[in-house]
Amino acid sequence: MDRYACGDDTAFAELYDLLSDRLFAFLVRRSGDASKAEDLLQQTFLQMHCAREGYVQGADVLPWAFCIARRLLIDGYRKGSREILTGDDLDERVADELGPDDMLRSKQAAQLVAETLAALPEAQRVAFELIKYDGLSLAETAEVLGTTVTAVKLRAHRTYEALRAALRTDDVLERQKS
Amino acid sequence: MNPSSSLRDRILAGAAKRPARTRAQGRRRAVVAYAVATAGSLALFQAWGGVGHSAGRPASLTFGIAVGAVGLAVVATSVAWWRGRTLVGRPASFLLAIAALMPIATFVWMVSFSGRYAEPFERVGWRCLGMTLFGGSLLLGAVATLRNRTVAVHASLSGAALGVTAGSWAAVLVDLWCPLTNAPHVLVGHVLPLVILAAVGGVLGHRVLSIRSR
Repeated sequence: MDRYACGDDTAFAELYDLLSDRLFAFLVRRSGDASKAEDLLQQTFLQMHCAREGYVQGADVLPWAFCIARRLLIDGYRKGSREILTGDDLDERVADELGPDDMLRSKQAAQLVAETLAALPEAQRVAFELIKYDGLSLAETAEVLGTTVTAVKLRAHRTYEALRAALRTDDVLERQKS
Repeated sequence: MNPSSSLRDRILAGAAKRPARTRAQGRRRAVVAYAVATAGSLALFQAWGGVGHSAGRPASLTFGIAVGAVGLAVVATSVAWWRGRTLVGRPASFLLAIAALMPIATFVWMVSFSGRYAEPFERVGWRCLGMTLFGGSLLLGAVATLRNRTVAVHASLSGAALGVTAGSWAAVLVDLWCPLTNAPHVLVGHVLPLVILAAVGGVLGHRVLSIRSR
């Protein structure tokens, strides 16, 4: 990004290759639509292109890119299109080699996780997703959300607690049934 | 799942079609914008009598008040204007603290000098209000132009903090110009413009600074 901000236009392709897959995965998960995610990815990179003059030497580009992508998502949501969390990525995590019972149980657990996350406040859910699904560090997540690392830790902790409680309750109900 | 290869070509072609300023060009533009804003403030300051207007107050107090105002402006700038080694900006709590505490700090600082000298005249503070709003608006306009559509998070809060910071720099000149420090005058002439600039900055942040889908 530093080279690009200094006027080396060829560096933009390298920047795209470095960031596009992670940003695209984030946008697909949040929008639930690959074609919309492509449109948002294009807008994200064009925003970065237009704002290159403001790049601070040595600054981390990843949180900035995620931050722009998230802002564009929210802007799109406000203009009428829905931002949704799909359960597809969770389903993908279910291992193929599991037996039918385990597979069913895993899918139910994944569904429960998705439902629990969807019921959480947006600030908690997004913090958890950026850390767990997008692989951002606590500091990067704090930058994307415009808050402090302590606040991100707290939000993630509350999400873990909510998930733990939901899974524990589900486990108790399952045992009662059996 | 990866983006299609044609998307890469479309994005690179789109960027090539739309020229964007480099960092060096951006710096030159910023210098010009801030220089114009400062020159405008100085012109009004001189036109209304400059430092001579506060001749009724001991010069040491005048410069002492102005030095404190510079200190407050530097603190506000380091949080709201300067983004540090991040492209995103400061956390919301920092921005909120600047927007909310700067008017209070300004009031406390100025009123602490009240009663230490005989004030040469009485004024409500409309000219101080006007001068701070004028200088602050020029600076806020400059930063809004320079950061148009670049703030990705907490745009309204960023705008409010930038508004207060712009006002605090304008207030430095006003403190050199105005010899009054009584509480009613300070509230109308020196604190109210900061609050107004914070509100205007908040609106500008939402409408001008915030990144929008194109």
